[in-house]
Amino acid sequence: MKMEWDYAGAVVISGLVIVFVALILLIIAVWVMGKVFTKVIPAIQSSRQKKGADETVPAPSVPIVPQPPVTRTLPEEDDNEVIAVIAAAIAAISAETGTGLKIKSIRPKRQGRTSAWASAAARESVM
Amino acid sequence: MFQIFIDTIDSLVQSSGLAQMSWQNFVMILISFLFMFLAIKKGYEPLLLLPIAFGMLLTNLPATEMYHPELWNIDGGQQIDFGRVLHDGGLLDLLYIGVKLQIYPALIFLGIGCMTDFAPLIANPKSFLLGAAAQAGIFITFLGAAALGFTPAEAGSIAIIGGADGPTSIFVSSRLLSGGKYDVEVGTIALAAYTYMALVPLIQPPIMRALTTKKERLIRMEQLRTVSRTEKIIFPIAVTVIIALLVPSAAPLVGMLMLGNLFRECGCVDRLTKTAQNELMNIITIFLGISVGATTVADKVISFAFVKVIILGVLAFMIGTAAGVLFGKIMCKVTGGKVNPLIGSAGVSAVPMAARQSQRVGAEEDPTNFLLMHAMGPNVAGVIGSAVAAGVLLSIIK
Repeated sequence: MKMEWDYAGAVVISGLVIVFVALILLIIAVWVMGKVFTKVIPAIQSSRQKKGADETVPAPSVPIVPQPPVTRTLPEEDDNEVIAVIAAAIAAISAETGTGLKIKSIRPKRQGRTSAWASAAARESVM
Repeated sequence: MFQIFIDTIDSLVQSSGLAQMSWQNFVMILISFLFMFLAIKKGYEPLLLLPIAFGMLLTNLPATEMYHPELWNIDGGQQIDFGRVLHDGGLLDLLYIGVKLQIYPALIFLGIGCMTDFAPLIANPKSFLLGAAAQAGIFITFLGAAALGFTPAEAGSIAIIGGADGPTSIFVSSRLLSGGKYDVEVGTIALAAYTYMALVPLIQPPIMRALTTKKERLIRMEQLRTVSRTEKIIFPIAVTVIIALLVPSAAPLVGMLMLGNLFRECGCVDRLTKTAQNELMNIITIFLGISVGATTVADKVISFAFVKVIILGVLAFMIGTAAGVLFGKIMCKVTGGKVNPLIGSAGVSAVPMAARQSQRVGAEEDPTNFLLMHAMGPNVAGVIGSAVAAGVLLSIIK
């Protein structure tokens, strides 16, 4: 069964229109989600914090005992070496660029969060 | 007694593969050797090309009875008799059921979802437009196939090669080329699709260079914002709902892709994520490759129709790339030079090879310009776009 040009044209036009409409709807959905997470929620959180701070009654002067910062203990076997390597690398960059960089924390990366593709692409870009 | 011995030897010779071998079988076996060489020695998509090549070898060795085209190529209007397939089919017929019922492509999409990071797309949702523009290759090639006299089902199956997505091509062609005799086969479509995916580094860069100026290639794009985990979790759910409501026939592919991505992003089903992106993906890849290879029977491949499929396939790929780059140029103008048009070519969904070409061509002009993450947005949008285009073709073409 050969195709008629009218039919072929209808498939092309309706196909392109539907693909664009579907993806434009996704753009709108993702854009709205992005605005909610980057603008609305932070604004609500900051207003709540401000409100909370305003409502706080000054407490009688009780000496505040400084708490040690909550830190996550790293397993000790080989992490000292890793930390030394990271610190050395940052110090080298810092010396090269003349900017003062400070390490605030070093946390292990969550397992299984990086795709094989992303890793391969990163390797290829570096090498 | 001597006569019985001679008769036995004669009957063995007559029933052997050598006696039944045609020149077409011989050529196909040589082609399978070539593909094995390309996979093993040259490393062209070896994970898929090697099983496809071996399936091609097995199906073209006469008298092996592993694959029976007559069980699948039936006259129009009739349904495939799966009972007969189970009873009379060989090993490759049984594996091919997963292709014919569109099970393997959907499961491959589950694994792809587990491996894909949609953060660049969420951070820059305009990338969806580039993913949509690159699908022009599919629909323009549909016209080309119509001009060459293919039926709507054949034209749709050939055109989807322009989506640069192997599982999607198999999904569409196995559905469209069902219940009738056609000049093209699922295997030939898959072969063309995977060949062009392997040739992305050769096909895309000349088009990208030809359609962009040096000034455009040097454009540096702004760093993408950080995407929160909650956004990454909401994204697959939202995409599934929107696409499934709008184009229900795309739901099997998009749904499985997004389920895989939800596994990945939710962080509470690591075992499922690892299984889907490793063991399950590998098993399905073996089954898919060998059964698709099995469909490349000599009379379907050594034909003028296959030559036309090859030509239309590469045109689809080139048009898709060009459409992506041209739309990238439009976005570059509209945004006042904030978008590097090179990322448009990544809108064809060959992940991540197409994005790497954007990085590569950009780095030729300026090695310190890193476009990879920006190109990953259109690249993963292309996966969604080609799945939607597949759904559209399936719902329009009857």
